[in-house]
Amino acid sequence: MTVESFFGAVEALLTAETMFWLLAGVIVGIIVGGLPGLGPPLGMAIILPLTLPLDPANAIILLVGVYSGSMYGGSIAAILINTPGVSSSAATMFDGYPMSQQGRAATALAISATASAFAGLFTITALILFSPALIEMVLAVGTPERFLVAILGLAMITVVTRGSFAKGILAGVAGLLVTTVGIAPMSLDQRYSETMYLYDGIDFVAVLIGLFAIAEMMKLAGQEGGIAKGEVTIDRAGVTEGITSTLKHPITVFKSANIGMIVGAIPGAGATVSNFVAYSEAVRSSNDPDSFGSGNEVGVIASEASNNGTVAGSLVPAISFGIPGSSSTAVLIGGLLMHDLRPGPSMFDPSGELTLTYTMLLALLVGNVVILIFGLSAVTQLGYLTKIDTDYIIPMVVVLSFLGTYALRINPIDILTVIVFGVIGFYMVRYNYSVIAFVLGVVLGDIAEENLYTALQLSDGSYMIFVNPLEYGRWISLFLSILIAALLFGPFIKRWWEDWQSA
Amino acid sequence: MVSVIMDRRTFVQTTGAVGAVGLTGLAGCLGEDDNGDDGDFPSESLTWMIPWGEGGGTDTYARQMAPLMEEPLDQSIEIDNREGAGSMLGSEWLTQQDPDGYTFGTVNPPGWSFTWRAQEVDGWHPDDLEPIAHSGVFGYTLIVNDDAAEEAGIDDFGSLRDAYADGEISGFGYQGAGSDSHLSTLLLREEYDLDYDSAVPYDGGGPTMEAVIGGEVAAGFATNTSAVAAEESGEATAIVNLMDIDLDHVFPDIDPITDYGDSLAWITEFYQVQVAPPETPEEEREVLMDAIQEATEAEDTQEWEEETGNIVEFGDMDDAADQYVGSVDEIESQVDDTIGGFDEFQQMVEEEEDEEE
Repeated sequence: MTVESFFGAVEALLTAETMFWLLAGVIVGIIVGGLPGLGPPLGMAIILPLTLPLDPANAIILLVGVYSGSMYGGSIAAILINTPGVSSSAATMFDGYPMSQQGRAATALAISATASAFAGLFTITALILFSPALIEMVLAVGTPERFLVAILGLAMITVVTRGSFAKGILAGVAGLLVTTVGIAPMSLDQRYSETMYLYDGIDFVAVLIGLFAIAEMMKLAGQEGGIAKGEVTIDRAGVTEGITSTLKHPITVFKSANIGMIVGAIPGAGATVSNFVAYSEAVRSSNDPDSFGSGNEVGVIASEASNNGTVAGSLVPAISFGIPGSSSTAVLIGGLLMHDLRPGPSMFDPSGELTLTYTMLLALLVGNVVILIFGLSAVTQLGYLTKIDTDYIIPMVVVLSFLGTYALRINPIDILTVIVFGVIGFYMVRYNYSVIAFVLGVVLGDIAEENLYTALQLSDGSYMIFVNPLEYGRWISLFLSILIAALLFGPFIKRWWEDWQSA
Repeated sequence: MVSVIMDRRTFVQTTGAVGAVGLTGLAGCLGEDDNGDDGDFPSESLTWMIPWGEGGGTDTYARQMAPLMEEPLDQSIEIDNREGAGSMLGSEWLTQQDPDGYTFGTVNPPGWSFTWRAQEVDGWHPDDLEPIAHSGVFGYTLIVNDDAAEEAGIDDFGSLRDAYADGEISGFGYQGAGSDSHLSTLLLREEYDLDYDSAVPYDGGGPTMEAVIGGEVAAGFATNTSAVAAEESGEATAIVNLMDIDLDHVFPDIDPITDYGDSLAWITEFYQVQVAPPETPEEEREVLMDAIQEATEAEDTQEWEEETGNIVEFGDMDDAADQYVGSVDEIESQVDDTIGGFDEFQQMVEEEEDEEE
């Protein structure tokens, strides 16, 4: 029956109409993702009412096409102008943009296309093969585990910080402080919310755009010429170099895609978290961690593989339980319901909607091939942007950044946020404070606080819920706690062990 | 008491109300129809403010109704999402707009009035806004994890109460500290003897539903529409209807809370009420009211209601006023009667926090 559903899906997919909608979805997604601030939820929400006349399969394919395409598209602005097209491409900037400055934008864009596509292909295949196990995992992961994943991300500050360790910690804590603005997520406390515009806190996408796009434009304003400082090569050799570089790091692609898929399957964690975790893991496991941040190709590979891996992961809770892990999947669930499809076990049942689920997953597979072809051909040509005089680039990026930010929630405070964090970002870079550590704090603060509070409520205030599976039955929590301890204390123990051995 | 007939299938799709539907309004590109100003209202395009983000329940209603209102009004309607501060930001914005009928919005009393009171908002009062009409209603149910229900033999509110009292199940999830569902949670304990071991706040409806489905808490709150999604997951069942509205056609075995005490509708049942800025003339509001009525009665809307499970219910200007004018006072006196007042409520919330610390 399952095999039958599978071949039914292949048949459904291989029609000209379906292929057209898939192609349209992916390309619209790449464009929406490429524009700063406008992420996948916005693109999908705009498309949603337009899917009404389509049959359910095509409608869903169009939506997941936009989703997948925009996850990749986010990397384009990240690499070319140091602006996260989508927040889940933030880590791509760290090494992608320095590559552009070195005149290697085409290579970086080719890496991004290849890593995105391969991670997508791999994770979707894994989803088709192992969906029952992933469904189990979603049910096993709860509030305590989400808190620990956030802490794991924060512990990564120790890994990604280069130079002064104290400055890294300081930056991370400052990032956490930013998330304390607004009504406390789990209590009635109002923090610094003198004006109602601050009730919901400071929007982290606005912070990201300020820290990276605006700060970089301020820096560029003081320079002559284009973004690229040297010769810009946009030829076949550059693109080939990108492809080979990705293929030379299959373990990074595999590992990052897995991180993306697993973290993505945890509702509420999502693509931005998985993006940073994957990047930090690439830094941690590298022989040359100091080269990250100045154009290390592996950084781009890890970041881009993880955010496309997240697409597959986030579909699990959305399709199997109707749980929207992110706003993108919330819109997708809306699309399913609009077309009379009910998220639930029937979506994975051969006598239910399994054929349609397979059609959607296979469409995503093909969508990744589209990303690969489109990304390697048309998108790499955008590398020419880095040659254009910054006098033309700066006004465009600044206007797009403000427009994109304001469109997010029509809150004037976001405009102020962009400006303030633009200045902060400019000086952080100048005085060697880790912007990555700061961003980790901003992204993870809310998740950590909210889930810590709820977890302690579950355990009547006992912290043992994180480490004692015998009483609470949460083995994944114990595993994550050990992982965090290893990350924090591993280097010290290793050094102590080596000293002891040599003594 | 209102009875709404709807079958199970129709109700199913409604997580859509929580999940989706477009941001087309955000583009803000609907141009003005220039019919010339001949004194007839409306002679140019209108703005419909929704104080929540795109894709929420209230947004979904507006996006269904707006195109159907455009025909009788002969003008385009642009939906303007102004989310934030639990709908207070958008509401405040609405009070500051010109009272010419071209700008109106939707609010969700009595939850809206509760939030206004709980946040101690200054500068405007819910009663300041002028009523137009109401177009729908939604509210809370209690859902129970299926494994927990099976083990403890829970099939109605009485057996849910017993299961907590006997310590057979653990954890009760609600949607955010200090929210209307938090107050309802306290009321269920004080007035209906629901003796849960720990009440656990989650960040909104989605996470609460997820916690019940995953078994992290045995039971918790879900709106009538997301309760259907919870049942579809095959891991949870809607056991108690906290609203006055009859849901038997959707959940045949659901147990009404009114069998165990007074109605809780004043804090568990919410309306989609359209309001205009203070001092908007009645004449303009009547034109809008008629258009809303036409939209709610359109065949298209009936189909939408059946397909999505959202409950469409038209009420005229007076009905709309009944839903919110004076509702702050009513909530105040209800909270006084049941738990001794808002200060006591906040104190109870803080005590719960302190227990954790």
